[in-house]
Amino acid sequence: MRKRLLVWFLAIAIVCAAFYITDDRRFVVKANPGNIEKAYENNTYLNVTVIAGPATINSYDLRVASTDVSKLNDMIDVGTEYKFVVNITCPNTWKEVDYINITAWYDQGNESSVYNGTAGGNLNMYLQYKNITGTAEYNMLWPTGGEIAKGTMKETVINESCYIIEMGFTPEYQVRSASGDGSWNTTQNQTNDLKSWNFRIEVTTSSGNVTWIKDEFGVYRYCEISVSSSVSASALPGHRASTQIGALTINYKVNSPYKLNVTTNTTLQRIGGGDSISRDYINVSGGDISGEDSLNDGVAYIEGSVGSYHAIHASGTQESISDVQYYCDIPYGTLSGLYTSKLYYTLYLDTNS
Amino acid sequence: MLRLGYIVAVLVFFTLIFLNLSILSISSSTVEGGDVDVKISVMGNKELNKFGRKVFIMGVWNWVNLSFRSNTDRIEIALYKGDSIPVNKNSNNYYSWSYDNGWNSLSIYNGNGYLDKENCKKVGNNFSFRVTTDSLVKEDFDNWTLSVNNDEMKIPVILESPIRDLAVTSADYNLRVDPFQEDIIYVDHNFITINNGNLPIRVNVSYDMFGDRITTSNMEKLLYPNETLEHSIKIKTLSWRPGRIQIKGAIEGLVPSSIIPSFIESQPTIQLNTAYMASPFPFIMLVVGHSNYEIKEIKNSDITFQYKKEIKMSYGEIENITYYLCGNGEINMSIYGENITILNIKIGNNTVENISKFNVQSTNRSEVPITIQLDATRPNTTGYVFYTIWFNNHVYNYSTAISIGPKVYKPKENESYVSTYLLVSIGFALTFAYILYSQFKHRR
Repeated sequence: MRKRLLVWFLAIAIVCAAFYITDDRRFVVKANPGNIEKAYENNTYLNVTVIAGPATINSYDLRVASTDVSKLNDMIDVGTEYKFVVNITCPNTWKEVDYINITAWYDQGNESSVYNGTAGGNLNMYLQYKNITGTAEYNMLWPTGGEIAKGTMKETVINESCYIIEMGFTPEYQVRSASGDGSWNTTQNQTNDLKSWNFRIEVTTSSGNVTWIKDEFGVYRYCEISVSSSVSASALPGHRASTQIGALTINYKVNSPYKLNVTTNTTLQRIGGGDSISRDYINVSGGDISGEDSLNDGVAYIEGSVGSYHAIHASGTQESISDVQYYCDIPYGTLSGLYTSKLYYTLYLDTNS
Repeated sequence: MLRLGYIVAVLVFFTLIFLNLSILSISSSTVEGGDVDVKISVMGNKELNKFGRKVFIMGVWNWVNLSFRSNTDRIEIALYKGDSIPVNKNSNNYYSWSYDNGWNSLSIYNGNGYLDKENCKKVGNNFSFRVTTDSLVKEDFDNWTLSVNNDEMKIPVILESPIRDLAVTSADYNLRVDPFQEDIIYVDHNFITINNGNLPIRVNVSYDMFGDRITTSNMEKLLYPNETLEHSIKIKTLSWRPGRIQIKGAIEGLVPSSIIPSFIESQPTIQLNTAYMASPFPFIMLVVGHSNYEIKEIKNSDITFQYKKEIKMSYGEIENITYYLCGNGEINMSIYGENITILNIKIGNNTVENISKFNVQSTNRSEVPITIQLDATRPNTTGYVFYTIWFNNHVYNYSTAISIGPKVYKPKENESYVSTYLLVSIGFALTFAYILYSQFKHRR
């Protein structure tokens, strides 16, 4: 009987001891600060400096602003708003973030290329989120010529130290096309597709720590051409019919190297029949043409040439040519009347650069 | 005297009737604000408006449609510069037309009335004037007024230069198709044509090759100002051999010739009507090859070699990888490995005796599969397989990088369950044995 009691006692004691050891609450004690009697020596100081550690980029993406469809390692279009979406955590508080800088640049077919703002607004972009007291600032530091339009910025607070920042932008119509190298490598945080736009997202904290990632996207080719009027000119046989200088303006938008040429049908037919004028009698001047170029070979290059493309415009949102003139040396014996033909402007965009 | 009075009364009666009819006639041709709808368009009844004004495009045929709510037999319209009828009327500031049992130009300059009488229409109280002006606006636009029946109704108008415009985007395609297989492929996105001008254009496309095998939607359609069209592409592929095929399209934008007037000219006059071509739009890069394979085309030949650029293996794993040769000719090859063991190489079903140099007889009618059996004999490293091809006195070198990870333990089928059951069974057996032992001990 005594043994049994002893065993039971030991068992209960062990259970109590185990409970005591594993119960964290034994460390919680109560005290009334008002009745603690202490004396202090205030002639020494303990200085504690809290250093903001590096931020962590939890995730990032490039999306269509209106649909949230991802375009990371994919093609984007000019004239459409996109946004970088970056999920960032700071070790302590979001206040530690000073800047989020996003730089993007056309890689020129070389992955060792870097951002260079002076190279032109159609080739580089610099977006900045500036974390200041109150409402954070969102700025586009480059380009400044309207080649890219700044979009809207949105902050989503996940918790005190984690935010999702969305930074919008719209590539305008002459932002450099980038077709990629045939297939997109979707591995994140790598720039491994040539002929693309590389981008780098940098998060700088107040202690100077910089966290960054890099990746890529492509841009579709875009072309647009508009001409203000048809060509019309008249003269007596044996004389030259000319359009006036400035009578027509050719406006165009291109985002890769290009050629612009003009051609007509072989002959201009008289309305009502009975006569025609060969295009051999038609000359063109203006643009890149030195002097006049005859259409007797079928084509005149206003910009670029047979064998070479006109370089892409590093800046600007539209190009204009207003000095193009047409001349027709009306052959002797030509009947009076209206001679018409189609006048084809052909805009060729390079696909290889 | 009575007879005279009767005659006067009859005369007064008929005079009143005549006067009344005249008044009725005048009132039926008057137009009050809101009693007529006016629409100006070049084609398709698509009206353009800018700055609260209707747009009239100079130098092309415009429809001026007037719909009266009351019976109307006669109408006169005028188009003039500014807000009031100019004192000195000329082709730079004033045009006027009428309908009165026929279509008439009330302002004629150089023998031209700027009215397309043949196509003007009157249906009931609806009048459709087809009219134009000379090409006279020097700047982009001028403020003019469309007047109905001598300013009884005035409509603010912008006279605008004709702007022919065509824009094309999203027309770059990278497509893949398996070799020697006929298929129908659809592109993953549509390309877009846009008209930012003020004249309708008809869009069409042509391709430099396989035009009869490519179907592009929404072609031969009119693209009106400020409108866009989306175009999908369907390609019926042929049994193509491996390689790259570039198909270049050309988009044509043409203003319908029916909207361009031609007038009597007293001397030879050339008129060149603007049309556009955008090229190469679409640009289709067709890669004929196996999925996830690199394809190399040997210069000055039809030889292609397809191989994988990167693969992953685990240490101790044995894997067969196939490469493909195609094209006419006898090709010398050598293959060797680094940080990986090549167990054997087969061309079709035949094992290669000497992998350091062997011949492959290739044709362009089919692919020659070359299968390499690899053994990942070193863990946590990058292995390489190097290929050297000799053809036409040129050497071509390619390689595959093999990322070799640690050995992956792959339990045999049901192995894990067996071991778990075994452990649990042993536990039960030991517990049961202990209980039995305790029982026997206490009985004693």
